Amino acid sequence: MMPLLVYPILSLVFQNFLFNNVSPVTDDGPMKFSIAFESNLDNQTSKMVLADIERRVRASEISTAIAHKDQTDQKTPQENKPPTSADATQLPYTVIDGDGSSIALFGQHEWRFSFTRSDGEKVPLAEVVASGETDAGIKLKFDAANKRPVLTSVHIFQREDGISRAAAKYLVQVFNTVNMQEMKSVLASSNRIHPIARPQLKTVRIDQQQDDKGGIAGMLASLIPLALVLMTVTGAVYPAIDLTAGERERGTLETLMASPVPRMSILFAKFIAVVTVAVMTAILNLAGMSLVMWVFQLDKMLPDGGFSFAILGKVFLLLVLFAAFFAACLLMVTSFARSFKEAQAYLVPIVLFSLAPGLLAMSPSVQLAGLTSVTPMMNLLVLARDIIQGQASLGPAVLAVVSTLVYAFVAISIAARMFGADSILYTQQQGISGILSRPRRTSNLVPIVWALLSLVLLLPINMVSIGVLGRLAKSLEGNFSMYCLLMGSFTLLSFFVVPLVIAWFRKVNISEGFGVKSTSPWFFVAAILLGISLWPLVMVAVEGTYSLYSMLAGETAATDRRDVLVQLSSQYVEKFRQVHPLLIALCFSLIPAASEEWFFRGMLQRALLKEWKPRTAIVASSVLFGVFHILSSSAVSLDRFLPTMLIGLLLGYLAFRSRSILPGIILHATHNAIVVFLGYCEPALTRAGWLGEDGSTIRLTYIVPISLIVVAVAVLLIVRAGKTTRAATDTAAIPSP
Amino acid sequence: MPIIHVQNLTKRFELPDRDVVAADDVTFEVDAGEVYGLLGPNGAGKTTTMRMILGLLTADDGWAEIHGFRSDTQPEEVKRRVGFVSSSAGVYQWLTAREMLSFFGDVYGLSESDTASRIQTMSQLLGIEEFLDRQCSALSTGEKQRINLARAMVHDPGVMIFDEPTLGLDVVGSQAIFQHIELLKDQGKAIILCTHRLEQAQRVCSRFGLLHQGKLAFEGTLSQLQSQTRRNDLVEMFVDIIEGKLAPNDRLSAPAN
Repeated sequence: MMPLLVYPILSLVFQNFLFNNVSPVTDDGPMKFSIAFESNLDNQTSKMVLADIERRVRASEISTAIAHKDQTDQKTPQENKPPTSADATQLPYTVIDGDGSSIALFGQHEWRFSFTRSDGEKVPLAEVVASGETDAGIKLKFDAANKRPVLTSVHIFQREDGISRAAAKYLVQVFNTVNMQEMKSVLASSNRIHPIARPQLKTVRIDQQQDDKGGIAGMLASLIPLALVLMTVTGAVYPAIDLTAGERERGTLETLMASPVPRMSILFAKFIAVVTVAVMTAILNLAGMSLVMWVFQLDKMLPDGGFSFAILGKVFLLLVLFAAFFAACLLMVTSFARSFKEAQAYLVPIVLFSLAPGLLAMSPSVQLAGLTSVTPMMNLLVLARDIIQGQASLGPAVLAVVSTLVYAFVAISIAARMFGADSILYTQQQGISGILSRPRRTSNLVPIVWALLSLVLLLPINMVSIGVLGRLAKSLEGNFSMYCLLMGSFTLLSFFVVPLVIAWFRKVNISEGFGVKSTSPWFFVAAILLGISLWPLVMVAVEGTYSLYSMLAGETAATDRRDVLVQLSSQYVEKFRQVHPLLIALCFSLIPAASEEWFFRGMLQRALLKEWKPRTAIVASSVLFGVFHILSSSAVSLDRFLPTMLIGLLLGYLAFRSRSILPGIILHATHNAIVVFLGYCEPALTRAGWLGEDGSTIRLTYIVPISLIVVAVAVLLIVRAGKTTRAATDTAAIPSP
Repeated sequence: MPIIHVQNLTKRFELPDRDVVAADDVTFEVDAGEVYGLLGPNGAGKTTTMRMILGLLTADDGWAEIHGFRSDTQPEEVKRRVGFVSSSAGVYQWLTAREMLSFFGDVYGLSESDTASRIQTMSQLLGIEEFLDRQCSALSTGEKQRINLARAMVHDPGVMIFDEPTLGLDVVGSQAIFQHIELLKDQGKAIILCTHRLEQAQRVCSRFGLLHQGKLAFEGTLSQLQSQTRRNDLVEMFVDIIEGKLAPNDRLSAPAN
């Protein structure tokens, strides 16, 4: 194992889909249960009884095994050796005595004794089971009057889920077996009677499930965010319309545009105004709602006994985020409209449309994962519900917030494009239809609006692909090659085909619009140099992410996290090695490199470059590149953001200087290939002595400075080559910095 | 060095059914103390040309320069030096005239005291003191247009662009506007005026450009136009251009001087 090498490899190259589908190692052996145990005797005596039961069950198992082997053989249990003291000392389970909660292994199972709260109070068994602490519970009552305790009642506690039922069933079987034994031995020698009571099943419910399955508290937790969001929407709609379409209708928009303030600043000021009004509405509503809930004691119904300030604060931050997102969307839509009435007409379907995910989010079965976490509005609503219920988890929450920010960014960019645009301000015939219809003339670049629209389209397409792959992963268990191929085709479909269709629809010249053009050979040299020298730096970046994480969350958390990743990664590397190397090269190097360059550096960056300063365009496209690589519902992939974004910056700069995506594809493919095959060939490399002797680290100390030098040389090459190219072709569409 | 310099300005609009060339290779210059009358029938491309000069529209070809600043590359510098009055310009209904003027003073980067003194000067000049503190929604069309004129001059620009400033005004109202344009001309500002009131234009403007279907058909002073077209006044020239009796002068497609 080389933790340092393996994880970055996977984090970097693997398509998001992978981590998503990784499930913890599944054990094919018999089910292992955790069982809570309680009795009216002390733990030590209880254990003795358990040991006795165990012995008898084992004896019975042996006898049934023999019976199965030879069905004609009619051996009875009493023919087995009676328990001896030697048996009692060689218990088949280990007993670890801790502070009140001891753990014993009975068969394969975990037995746990006496649960106590922090205040020393004993936790009722039903509660232990209901909370999911253990799979089942067993309560034994002994008549302690006799010298040898006599079991008078057995209560088994189960929940309404599969594993708990299985555990309970197992316990019932154990006691039935023991009963049968006892009966038989009674029949055999009727002078000693030790009756054992028949087990009685009792079903309890999980507290949390009660909320989830349509309890009043669950309803309340989903209703609160929806009500707040709708109120915020109401607050934002009027200013959004008035500040865009209203200004146009009054004739003050042109006056504003004639003033020496950049269009973006005017729009941003309007954005701030709309967000402010929306947030103020949100504050009033939040305050009103908290007051009403407090007065009518509705907050007591919530899981944690009410709204804490922490929850209120988080919900408020979410509302601010939502207000920003919705304000951006509103401004985008109303920027298309020429009059108040037209804007209202556009908004009716939008509001209705956004109500649908809002209502869907009310359903308790909706969880913040997969597609839900990138569905605008719905993701924030479900997240708010989870926060109120105190069940929010980090990964999907981050995904929901990040995707909302991406949507808001796209919306505000489109609004900036539309706001005061020629066609909207002046032309009467053209409106929204003119912008969305197919042009008659071919053009050289994808319009920025369309590049951003395809970005928005790719977000859900990606999540759906992840979901489909997750489903198929099970049926493709034995065929990892097929799985790789499928992953490759999904990448191709989303990042290559979708932009291509949009470019076709907008009649965009492919060579210009995507930058598929020949360029100076020096760029290719630089690309290859970077491709082979970047991986050690990426590993350093990943390490940096961990240092950051350990600073934020503590050393142990960071180590744990890395261990999980290393474990997941090594599992996949194992599967990897069953696949033909050429297929690996195709699905992990060639396809992702070509498709991602095609979209991010081709369509997106070139469209942004037309309108924005080169620096802004490159940074924006590489941040979005990074964001797309953390898309998956597990928090695990968050670590990929920094390295991916840094590589995105280099790729963006290369594409900008060379005015072509071809060198970038070479860089991307080389880099991916190296990283993948380092993992793929790891055993061979270790054998060849290329890796550190214990295999745990590669010698970064030597490699990092060398690769730094190579990277610096390559970057210098790009800068130099860029100058000559620029001099030669200064008429190209992309502005120089 | 002319203050306004327009060179080969061209703008095409792509409509669903056809392409329209709204401005076709328009070239002219305006000096300080000059009123340039950009005249032409509806749809001739006057408004498009003026919007391109101001940087509100991007030209497909050619460029415009004001005080040496190109409107396509430095639109903010251009806008800072231009006052723009158009017939479609509105007012903020719920603000008083003074509040609206103060707002635009702020937008143009004037200090509060500068704005106040500018408002004081302009209100005497334009005779708007009496309704300065009235809500804009309560003003008449003529009063609103005078407020708009004040708004366009709040930053005391060296260049004024008027796009049909008298549209919808009565005789007295338009008289006031034209008087003010003459005053600005005397102050040495460079002015582009676009209007359908040809008699007043003939009196106020120093030079003219006659636009037809996006092209600058004739250009020059009134006497130059008269000799070129052999027509006496602007109205005659106009009617004949529209009816096709007067072919554009080919010599003028190249810069006049």
